[in-house]
Amino acid sequence: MDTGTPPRRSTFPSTRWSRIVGGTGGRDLEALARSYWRPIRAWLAARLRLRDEAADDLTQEAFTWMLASHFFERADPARGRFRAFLKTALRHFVVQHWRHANALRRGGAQAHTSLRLDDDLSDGDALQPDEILDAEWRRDLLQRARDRLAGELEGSGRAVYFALFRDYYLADDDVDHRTLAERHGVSRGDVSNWLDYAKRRYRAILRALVRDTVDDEEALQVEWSWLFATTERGEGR
Amino acid sequence: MSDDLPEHALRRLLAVAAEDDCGSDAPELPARYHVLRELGRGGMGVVYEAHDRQLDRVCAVKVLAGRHADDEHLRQRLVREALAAARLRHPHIAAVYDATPDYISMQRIDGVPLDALASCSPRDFVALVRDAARAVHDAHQHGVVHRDLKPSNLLVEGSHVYVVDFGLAKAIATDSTVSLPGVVLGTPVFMPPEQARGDNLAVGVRSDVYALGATLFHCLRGAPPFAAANLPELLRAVAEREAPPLGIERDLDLVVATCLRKEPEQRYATAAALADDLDRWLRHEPVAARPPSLGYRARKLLQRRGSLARAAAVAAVLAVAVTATVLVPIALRASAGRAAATSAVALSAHAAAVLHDATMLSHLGDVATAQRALDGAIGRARAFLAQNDVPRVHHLLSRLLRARGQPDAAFVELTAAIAGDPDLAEARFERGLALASRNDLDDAELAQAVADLSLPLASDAALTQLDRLLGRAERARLTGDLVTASEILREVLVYDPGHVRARLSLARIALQHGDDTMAAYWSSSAVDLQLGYGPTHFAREQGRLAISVHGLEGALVDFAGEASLGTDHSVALAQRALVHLRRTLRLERDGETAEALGALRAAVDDHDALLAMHPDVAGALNNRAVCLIELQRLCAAAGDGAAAGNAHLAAARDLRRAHALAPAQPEVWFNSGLLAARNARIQSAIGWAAGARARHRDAAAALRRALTLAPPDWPHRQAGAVLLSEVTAGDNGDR
Repeated sequence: MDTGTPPRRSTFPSTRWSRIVGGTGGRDLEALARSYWRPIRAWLAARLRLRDEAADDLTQEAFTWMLASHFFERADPARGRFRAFLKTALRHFVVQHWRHANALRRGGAQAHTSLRLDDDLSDGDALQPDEILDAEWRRDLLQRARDRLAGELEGSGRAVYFALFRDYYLADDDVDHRTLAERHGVSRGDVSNWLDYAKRRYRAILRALVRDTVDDEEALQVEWSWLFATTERGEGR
Repeated sequence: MSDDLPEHALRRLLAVAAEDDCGSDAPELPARYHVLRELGRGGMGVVYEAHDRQLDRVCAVKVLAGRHADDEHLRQRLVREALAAARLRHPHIAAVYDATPDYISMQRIDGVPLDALASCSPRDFVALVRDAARAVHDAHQHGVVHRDLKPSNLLVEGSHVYVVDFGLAKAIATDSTVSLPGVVLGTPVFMPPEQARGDNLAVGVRSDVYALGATLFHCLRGAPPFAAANLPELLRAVAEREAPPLGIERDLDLVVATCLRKEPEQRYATAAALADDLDRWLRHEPVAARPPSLGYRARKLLQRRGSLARAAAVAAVLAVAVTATVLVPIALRASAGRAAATSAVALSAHAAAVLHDATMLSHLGDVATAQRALDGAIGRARAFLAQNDVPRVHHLLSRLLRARGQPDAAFVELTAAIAGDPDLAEARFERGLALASRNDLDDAELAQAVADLSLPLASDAALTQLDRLLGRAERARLTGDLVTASEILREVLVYDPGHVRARLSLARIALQHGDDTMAAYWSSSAVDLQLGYGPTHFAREQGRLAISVHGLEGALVDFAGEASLGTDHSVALAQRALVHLRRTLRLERDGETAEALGALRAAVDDHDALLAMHPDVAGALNNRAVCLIELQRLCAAAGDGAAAGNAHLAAARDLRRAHALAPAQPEVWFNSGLLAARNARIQSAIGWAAGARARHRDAAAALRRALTLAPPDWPHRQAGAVLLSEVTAGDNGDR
């Protein structure tokens, strides 16, 4: 827990968050939260305008605080989705952080100034931290589902399925089924069927990941819709 | 494997995941609509946000949800909704653009539901519901009854309310068969009894009047008129129980109560009549709503006697049971008491957590989330109180309501708590505080407030040390001891400069002293803080210091006021010194050297005062050194060599002490480097090359140290690097 680096993605516990709250659930919940290291870091960096190392440190500090303050133990899944819970937790953390900094100032540790006094605090119209967290969250989920799909297919002797999926959906260039069939030495019918299988598995995995962060089916539907909320007419085929 | 995917790959993955949704759930819409996202789901329909390519506008499109899509009844109702709503053109009704049996496209309102408004006073709510009532009246004139009015169907965009979703609208003129008899449609919480009974033929204009009243009730009180554990109970409550009084103001109570009458003919005849009465209330005119007629009350009394008779019968049966076995009813009573106690404890824990979270969130400016949390807790407390009259829960509810920004409703609950248990010292103390915040206390209330505030208090997490201090201050103020009062209040501000209530009390004291300027200062700073307390406030205050001449001078006046008033005003002194320093730089840039020098000396003076109070604050020493370095430069430029020399020595002394106190502070090293560089320049100017070389080397070493110690995003990094390259070049030039 004291490493300043993002955890390996395989640490993601596949338990619904509402079930790991309470008792010894704090640790598990922390592990779940840690699998969202990147969105959390992005939120903090945006909220406090931090650069890389500072953002890493503060993200680490945020986790330490959430554990120390038993924030995870006090989580109430009935009150919302995990993403919303994390945002609340982060807001609390920032208040504490700010209070602490402010208390130091008030307690006599005056802010240090240098001669250059031109560092005005102008509030630009930067992206909102919540939006940044959301964007990173979405990206993270999609990538994690892709990683799991790879693990699952390759682990079950279906490496070709994933290779097809990767070449068809994730590569830079557009390829058709015929090219794929030739490339992987399979029939065009197999390409079509296996791609379909991989696609369905991808959806199921993604849905499972999202389900872990919500409490019930209704919330799942909301969160699932949210995932596509800002999709522009992309390049979906 | 977990490499970052490029944007196009992510988009394709999203499309893969979305295929499922769009395949079965997503609407079959004409190509002119591009669905952007789902906005929400209701009982029968899903509303999407879509781009209308043909007219290039964003609209809301409502379609039947997946499993309902084949329901012919629903389709029929949907078309009817469209036909009815399309007839309506009103600034407060969301327009219907296009309708087919498959979907309706409507004006997209980017608003929030009425009950989710972040900060809304009772008057604001009343004005919004009045506008909605006028719109509903217009719909009635066109033969359309809404039948599902509720806070979530009144969307507020800015300060403009839109009535949306005529989802259950029934054409009055048409004898519709769509609404099946005995089928309850609508949202029960806001439904009139005739609708709750499923008496669809009786549903009409006055049903909407009821729903508007229930909506207003909900917004003003934070909970609907009726709450129950399950739907059957709720329907029974709507049909049989009287709504509790609103408890805000008599006339407004009357208006809402008139809407909520069980018999439709006792309500306002039209939504316009309701709107007119709300308007009268807003203009402080007498309302048309009157207490119910004698006949009505007599009927009610008879009904109530009927239920009393039923209750008596039940009691008689119980008495028989008691004679049969004494133990069972006692056990029952005990277990009921225990259950209530357990649920009261759970409620308290929940409310305490909500209060804590809400305070935090409000401090961060996330008022909406805070209020949602509070509303939930308020609803729970009210539901509990509907079953058990526990004074402590009334007290708890008053705290929640106060946090929700409803001081009047909070006061009502506080009064109920004290009436139930006069020994609740904390509640009485809070009543004292509430009374003290009023400007128009009569003698009895004044005496009450003083007595309340004099009570000894038990330890109570919700009553902070600051509240206790505030109570002492208010008691002193109310008894005329203004000196003690303002001393305590300033003490409060030392602990919490953002304490709005303390600032308001100081404003009252200033007014009592006839000091309009300070009264204005304290009250406007309180308003400032109320608008955006938290980091934003302080950032704004910092920013304000830097921006304009006017802002600078204004800030100076503010801090001058604060600095001369505080008991330990080190914060204010430090801030004022900063203002002086910034002013110096600006004055110098404008060529006003003499004024600049004066400002700089004032900055040094403030630091002297500050350091006299706290001699060992490295930051203050460092900042004074900064002022002295500038003073040295200005004095040298003005030809005052002696003053320049003294400033230089004093700066070096301060920096040495600062180093000793905070050896790893990059700012101190930066300033040491700066001072050494200045020194080098002077020595070089008088032709002492060896001295200059040594100083240059000192400067370079200090600056390197600063750059090593500083974080990567240190704001002075660039300046430090530039200065370092200058002194390195200087060192070479000296050789």
